[in-house]
Amino acid sequence: MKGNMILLLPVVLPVLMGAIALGGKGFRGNRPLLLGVVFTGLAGGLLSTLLAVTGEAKLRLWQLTESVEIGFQLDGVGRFFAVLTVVVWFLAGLYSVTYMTHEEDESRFFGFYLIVLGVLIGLDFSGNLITFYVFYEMMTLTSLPLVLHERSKEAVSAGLKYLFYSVAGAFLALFGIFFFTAVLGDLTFVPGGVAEAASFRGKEGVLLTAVFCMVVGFGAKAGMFPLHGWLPTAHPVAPAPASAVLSGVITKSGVLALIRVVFFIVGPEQIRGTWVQQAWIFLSLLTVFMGSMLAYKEPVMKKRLAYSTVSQVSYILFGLSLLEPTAFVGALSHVVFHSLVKNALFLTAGAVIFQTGWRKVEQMRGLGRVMPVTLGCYTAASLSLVGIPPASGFISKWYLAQGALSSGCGAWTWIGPVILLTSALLTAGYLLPLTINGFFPGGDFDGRELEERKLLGKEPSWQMLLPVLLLSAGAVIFGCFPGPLLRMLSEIAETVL
Amino acid sequence: MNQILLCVPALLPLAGVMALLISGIFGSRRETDSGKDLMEKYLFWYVAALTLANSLVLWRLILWSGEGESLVLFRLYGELKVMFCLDKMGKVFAGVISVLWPLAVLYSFEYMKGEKRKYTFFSYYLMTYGVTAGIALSGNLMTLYLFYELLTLATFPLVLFPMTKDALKASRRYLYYSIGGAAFAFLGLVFVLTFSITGNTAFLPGGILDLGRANSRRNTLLFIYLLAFFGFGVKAVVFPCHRWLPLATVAPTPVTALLHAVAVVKSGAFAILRLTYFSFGTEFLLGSWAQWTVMAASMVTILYGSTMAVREAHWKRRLAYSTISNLSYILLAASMMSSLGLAASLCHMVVHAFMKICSFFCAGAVMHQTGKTYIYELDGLGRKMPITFGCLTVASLSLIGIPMFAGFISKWNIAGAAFACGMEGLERFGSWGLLPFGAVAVLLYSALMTAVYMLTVVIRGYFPQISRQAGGDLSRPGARQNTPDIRQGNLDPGWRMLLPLVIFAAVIIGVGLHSQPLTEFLMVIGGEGA
Amino acid sequence: MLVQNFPFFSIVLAMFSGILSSVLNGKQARNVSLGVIGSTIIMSAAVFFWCLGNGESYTYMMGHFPAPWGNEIRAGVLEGLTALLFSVIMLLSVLGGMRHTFEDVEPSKVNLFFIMIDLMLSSLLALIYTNDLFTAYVFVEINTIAGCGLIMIRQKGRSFSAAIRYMIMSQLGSGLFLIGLTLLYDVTGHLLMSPAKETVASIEAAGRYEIPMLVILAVISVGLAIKSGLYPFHSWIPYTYGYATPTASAILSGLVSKGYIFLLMKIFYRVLGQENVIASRMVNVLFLFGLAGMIMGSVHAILEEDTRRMIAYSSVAQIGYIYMGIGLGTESGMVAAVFHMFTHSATKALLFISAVGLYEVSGEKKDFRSLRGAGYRNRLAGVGFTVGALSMVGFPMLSGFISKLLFATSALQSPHKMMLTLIGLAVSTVLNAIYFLRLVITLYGRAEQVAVKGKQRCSFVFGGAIVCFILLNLFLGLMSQPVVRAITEGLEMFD
Repeated sequence: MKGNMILLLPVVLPVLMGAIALGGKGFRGNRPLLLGVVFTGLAGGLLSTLLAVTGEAKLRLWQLTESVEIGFQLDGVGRFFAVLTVVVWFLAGLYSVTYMTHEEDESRFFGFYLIVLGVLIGLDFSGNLITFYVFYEMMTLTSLPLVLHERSKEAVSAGLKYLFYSVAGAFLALFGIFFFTAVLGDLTFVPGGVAEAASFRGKEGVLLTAVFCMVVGFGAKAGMFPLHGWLPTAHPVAPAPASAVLSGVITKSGVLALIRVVFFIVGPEQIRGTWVQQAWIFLSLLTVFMGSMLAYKEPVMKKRLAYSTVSQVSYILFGLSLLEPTAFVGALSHVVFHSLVKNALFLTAGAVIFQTGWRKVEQMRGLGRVMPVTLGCYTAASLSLVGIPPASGFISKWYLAQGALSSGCGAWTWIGPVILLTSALLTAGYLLPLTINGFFPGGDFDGRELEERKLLGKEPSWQMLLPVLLLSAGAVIFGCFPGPLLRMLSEIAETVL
Repeated sequence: MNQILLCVPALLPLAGVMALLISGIFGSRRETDSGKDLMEKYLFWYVAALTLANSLVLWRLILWSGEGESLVLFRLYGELKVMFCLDKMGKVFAGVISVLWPLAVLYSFEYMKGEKRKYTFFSYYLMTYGVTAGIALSGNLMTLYLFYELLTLATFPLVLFPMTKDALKASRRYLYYSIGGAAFAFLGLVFVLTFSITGNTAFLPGGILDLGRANSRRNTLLFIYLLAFFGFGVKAVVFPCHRWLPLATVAPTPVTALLHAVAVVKSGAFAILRLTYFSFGTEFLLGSWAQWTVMAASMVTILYGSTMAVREAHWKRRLAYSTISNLSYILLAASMMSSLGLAASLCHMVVHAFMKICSFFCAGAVMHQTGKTYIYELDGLGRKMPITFGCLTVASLSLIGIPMFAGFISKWNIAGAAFACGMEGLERFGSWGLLPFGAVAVLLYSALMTAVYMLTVVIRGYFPQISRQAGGDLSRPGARQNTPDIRQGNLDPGWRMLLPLVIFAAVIIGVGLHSQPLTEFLMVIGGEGA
Repeated sequence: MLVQNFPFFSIVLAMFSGILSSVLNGKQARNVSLGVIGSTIIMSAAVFFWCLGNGESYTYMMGHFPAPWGNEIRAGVLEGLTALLFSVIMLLSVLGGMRHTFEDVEPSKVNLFFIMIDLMLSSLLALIYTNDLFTAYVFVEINTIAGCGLIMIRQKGRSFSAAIRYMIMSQLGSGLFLIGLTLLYDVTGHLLMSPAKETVASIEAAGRYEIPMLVILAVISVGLAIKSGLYPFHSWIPYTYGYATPTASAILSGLVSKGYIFLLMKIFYRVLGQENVIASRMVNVLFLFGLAGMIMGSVHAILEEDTRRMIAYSSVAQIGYIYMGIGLGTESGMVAAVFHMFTHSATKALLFISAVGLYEVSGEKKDFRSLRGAGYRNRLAGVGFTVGALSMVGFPMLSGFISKLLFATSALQSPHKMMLTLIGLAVSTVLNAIYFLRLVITLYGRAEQVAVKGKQRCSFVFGGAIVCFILLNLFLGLMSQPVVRAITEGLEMFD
């Protein structure tokens, strides 16, 4: 073990606290104690992450086999993802405090919730592809109990589906990892890629196949077609905070994986202009469009949001697939924006379920009378996602479209923006009706039912409201003042492209 | 002195069993109810002492026996001698069985409590130890063949043990397949003897074929190699010869676990390794159509085994299918015909032994404690048997090949060997070289299937499904309060069953985290062998 | 030398003891028989070791008429060894089946049974030792008669029809053999083997009589093949072996058919000349018939439910092995065939005898399923049967393995037949495994209704016989080297 041990702290601390929450016998019936442990973990994770990302550091843990090393290494992308993860996690954790009162087995939920946080930080800090893969697999396994949490028949089959898709994706990617280990030996992340064209002479076909496998495989986590099927099944059955982080953070780990593979191992030059790039662009655009369409047709709120995630994460993938700095910046900024927005939206949906039990969009007419503040946050977040200026979504989409136009990828330069625009319209079409029906239920709306159930003005508790507020506020504010973020992202883009 | 010690691990259990059987014949008439318990106690100590002693002798040999020491027990015919010799590869196999056997015996004593005919069971269980040790120690193909046949004989009574109709059918099929396979392996023996450069069948790294003579009848020899491969492949459950294994799960769990997941099937794989790397030699086989056929056969087996495992609802049979596919991992690695391949296949041989015996023992523990044998019956047992299911989870994750568990190490090595083989193959043999890449794809497909068939069990254990009550709204607070508490009562078995489980799980994690000494040792063998 | 008289003594002794037995009662006849067989063992052993020690064979003139009129006996290493093994197996078979003999045979006719045994022994010895084709023919007929007597003496159920079948097929065989002899006599003018061979050699050298020689070869081969039960002519075997009293079955299947095969080999080597036989296409025919027998015999056995008929069909398969070895047409193939002859004699007799022991404790039913659990009721017989079965399957350390090994290695020397032989061996092993091991498993399965009709303890004699058989099998399996060397030497002495 050599290097800066601080890096280990944000990984170990949440995992440790999670294990305590899982294993401790005293937590049944002693909620304050449990919450104490949970918040020690969350806050500890937050602080130690912030502490860790300030330094420049490397850490070698140990050799798994003689050629495989487990080690951490901090760089811009890692910092970026780590901070995003830990902040969102903290907020969603706060939200869970109230939300989880109506679920069983809180200690299990919080235990795994914390463990996943640790694993995700580990994922972000990973210094080479193997370490990354280790944490990637662990993330799948430890987040599985979150999906399974309700233990209903649907939840279990959804959990299995999630597992199947994730593991299938991971193993597809593993093919690529095997290949690169065999050819390159050392898979430490280097901005711009470690591969040199010379070492692949005569094996270009296999190389491209391997990269394609990794794109599709890691794309599974990001909900990219053809392995997107788990998302709309797994999200609705999980408890709301879980689906929020699944959708907002865990899907992003697929994005991170692709960034690591393409920009830090393979190198964009190896695949520029090849069929792999074409296929990648095609798949991501297809997913963008398909996700929006499906979301548009979906009546169940959380499922609709899940399809929306399918579509939105593929914006990011599209941005990456262009292999172009502007698009890269757009993609990474969309990581932030989508993460904030989607968390806000899922938490809203959870709040609605928690307070009223409504799951379908058509049930939610007149929601504005029940929880006006929440719905207001929802609206702000929605507008941001649609991309109305000055909210944040506009920025990222602008960069994406610009990147596409200057990428020189043949027909994609104009097909891409067109599809992005269409999808934005669809996004408006599936998100805004709730705002409209919620605030303006129309003349024929009969408010008596709400009165009977004593739902009028029933905002959720502050622990639930505060995260929603913060997240949607973040989504808007980042849109108004994107400067520092974009500058940082451009720096990253410069190193890798 | 040291030389004589070489035959002890093989013969000591046999002698012990003879004594046991003879005492059984004379003792049976005096057996009374109270006397029976006493006998059982003696039986336990007797078997335990013999097993431990044998393991100690094996370790003594592993640690301190010099290279090249050999012992000729007797001469069968001409140059066909029964010869013992412990080289590095033999040490690996001997090491594995010498660790597993005492623990399995410990487990069996708890498991077999209350069963009748313990004498028979433990006699053959012990005997099999000797025979398997004989396989590890055999210094030439003839001895290997002899013990291979003996293994069939020593283990079929264990399959027959429950004496049910199924058991009868299973043991019959097991015998037909094994003896039939040996008949084909025999042809390999004859050819190796005839074309050997040394005039006998003693194993040498790199093979003993006289290449000058062998190349003149290359195709015949390759064909015979294939026959012998599939002959030994019966025990290693290669695809067309695999059908005995799922049936053989009728045997008591200690048998299925130790014999049908480790000793018997690994003996088949071990024999194939001996045949490929130490008799025919990779120089002769590399790049031949036989190599590609063998590779394709193991790929098919992997696909078949892992797919069937998903379809199977009987737990032990599912594990048996998993064994089928995992054994072919070993063969797949072996079929790379390279030093990396040999090392990888030995690595998986060691690692799989621990993973599979651990999974089987968990299944056995559940069967023993609750009598449940089908997967859909396991709902919620994870809470009632925390240690058992904890170990099962470790074994499952390792079988899938999750990093930090032992299974990942071996898969990593296998894939590395496959890629190396493919790279070289592309340059030397054209499009045939693509086959190893396909092999990696197959490996990953199988890993996925493993995830499905192993984790469904674990998930069922930990997350029993609750059926939604009619019209019940899950979202309402308190809707779940009246579900029955399933956490009552700890059903974990006694320490004699738990201890082996925990040790296996610990080994799996330990190897997963720190595999360097093992892989280095195996690479040395690989470097010698090819 | 005294030893040189032993072959003659043993034949005559056996013959006269038969005559003597006709006036004795059953027990006395038995004692006489056992005595004779015992002394034959000693004498054969003496002959064998004498020949082995001197490294040469000798001919023994009967009376004082030299060839071409006289009658000759020839003894060499191979003859001595065969006679020794045959008489040992005979002794063990008689001992093993003793109780059944006394149960199956009417008390008043027991002495007849032993007369037949004596005659059988003497005719077998004569077939082994003779150097004279006509003597051979005479003893072939005596052998047939004795065989019929052994089958018929049970006087139960189907043993009559079995005897008649045997009689008819045997007569067909001896008829053909006789025709062959006559033709040979016509062509060469000799009946003694050595001069006949010289004449044959000169005829061959001159290139005359090609077709008659071929016919002679074919007729003799087919005649003896019928008598030894080679595949397409095997129809009498299951009846004969299946319905006779155990001792008779063991002797008939283990020894009698081998006697004819031995005679055939002797004719090949000592009259027609092995190289002529190989040059003609007859060996190929024998090879193919042998191969077919190996497979078909086993297939029949698998389909069979009656245990003893199953073992009988297995004999068809094993005889196929032997003919396949002869048909390979190489020196080592012949060695393998001879060795397998021994293996099969020892093993098949063991199987028949131990099957009897198992029947006794299972209610004497025919169906093999009735034997379920019999291995626990009569442990020794169960072990015996298992060892026999494993030997037939070719388990290492037992004699069957060595014969398989010899067949396989010798197959490598004849490239055209190699693959067929090897595949045939492997497939036949699998088939053998199927029916033999099915039986073994049945023996050790759980008996549903324990048919302990008098759980008699197996008699000392029976147990002793079984143990000796097992030891014989192990001996052939573990110490095969000297035996094979002796066979090779003996075959060389034939020329």
